[in-house]
Amino acid sequence: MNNFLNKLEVFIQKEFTEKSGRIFLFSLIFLFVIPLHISFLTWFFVFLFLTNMLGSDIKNKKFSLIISLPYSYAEVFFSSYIFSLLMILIPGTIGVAFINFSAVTAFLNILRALIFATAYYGVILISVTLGGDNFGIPFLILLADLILGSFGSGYNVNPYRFISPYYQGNIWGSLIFSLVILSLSLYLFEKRGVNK
Amino acid sequence: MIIEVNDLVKNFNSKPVLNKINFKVDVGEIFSLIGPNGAGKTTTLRCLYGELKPDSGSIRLFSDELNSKIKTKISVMTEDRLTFSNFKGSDYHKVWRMLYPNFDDETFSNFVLHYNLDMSQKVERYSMGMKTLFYIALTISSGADLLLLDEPTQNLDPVIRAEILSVLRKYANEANKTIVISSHEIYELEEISSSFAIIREGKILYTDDVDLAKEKHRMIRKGETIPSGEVIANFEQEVLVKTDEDIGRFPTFNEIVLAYLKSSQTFDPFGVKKSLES
Repeated sequence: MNNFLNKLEVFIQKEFTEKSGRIFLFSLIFLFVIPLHISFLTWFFVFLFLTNMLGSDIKNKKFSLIISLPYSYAEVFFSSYIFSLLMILIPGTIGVAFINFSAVTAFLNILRALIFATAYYGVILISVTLGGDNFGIPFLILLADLILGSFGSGYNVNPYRFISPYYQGNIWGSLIFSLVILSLSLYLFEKRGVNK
Repeated sequence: MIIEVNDLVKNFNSKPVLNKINFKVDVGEIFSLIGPNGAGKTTTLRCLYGELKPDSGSIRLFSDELNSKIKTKISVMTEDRLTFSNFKGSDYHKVWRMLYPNFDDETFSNFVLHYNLDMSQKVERYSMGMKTLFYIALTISSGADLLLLDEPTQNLDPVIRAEILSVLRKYANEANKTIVISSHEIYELEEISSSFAIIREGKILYTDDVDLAKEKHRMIRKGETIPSGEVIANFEQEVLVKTDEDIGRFPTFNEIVLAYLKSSQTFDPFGVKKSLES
């Protein structure tokens, strides 16, 4: 565990040094969009931020550099995942502290952002691992998620809406669905590796 | 054994790149992976440090499957010398110190002073030669038991190249560390290697200890009787034969490598060596 924390620290340092501009910009955006939860806009910025994480490193051959260091695939996967969540969680939490929400609403807004991020971190990784890109295919999946969840007049008509990472009709259902996507992405990432 | 590779197969989009690679490397050896561009040297190294997942076959490092604990005993220099964006020399130093428990600051400082490496400059702005020297400084200072170096003398001038080869030899001999070098610079590999594998089109054509390889082969001049054994390749006035007979002269390391690489020029899907009895 100590060893992983050390590697996580190195990974975070690397991300801050390499992507300082992007991280600053997205943190500023998350400071407002996560607490206010402006539906599509919030999810779009979280999605855009995630495309700049591990998926982008793999596309730009930066993954070769990190995996040549003493990291396993799983360690890179979790380091990047934890870092991504922290970069959403920290500005989001600061943002809600300044807006007069009830504690429950504030917590739910943050939790919803983390569930969405978990699902789309997995989607982006699956796309890249299967030879796709880090933006186009995941964005089509985001649109499909948006459209599929919009069918029907209510949750009884369209059960997908319950688990949709976009709509999150049932927060626990969508959390479990997101974790399934994340686990699948980890499995594929470890099993197939990066073939570039 | 530090490295044991058995029947390693790797395909990229169904195109075979490594086709049943086998070799072993023992402690303290400097093992050269020699072959032309596109032979599969870099892919083999990438499989060794776990960047690429083999399609079949096995790799054992330090008598175990590759895991993150073993990876702290391995330090890698990649061929393309890619660098993290915005990383200064000092950032790299800090990161490597954190990741390698045996990182030797004194050795690293000696490299920095000797080659005048600017630690406050972004590494991506270094020249290719400086990047090579910087990575050599990091890999050697890491204190790792196994160095995987892809084209470690690329872009270096001849004087520094000789100096680096001598440093690598010293690192292996005095600290009993193992080094795997991938290169197509066969002339410089002769100076440094203790064992080698010749690779072409994703297959190992021949692997052996350098001295044993010389003992097992003979150069036979035109007009001399070819002994029983295996004719590897014809040169202009001589033939390289793998034989037990004490005949002709011992070949040089370069002649052995060139002969095996020449022998595979002719396409033969069933094997690359012709056996002749005479």
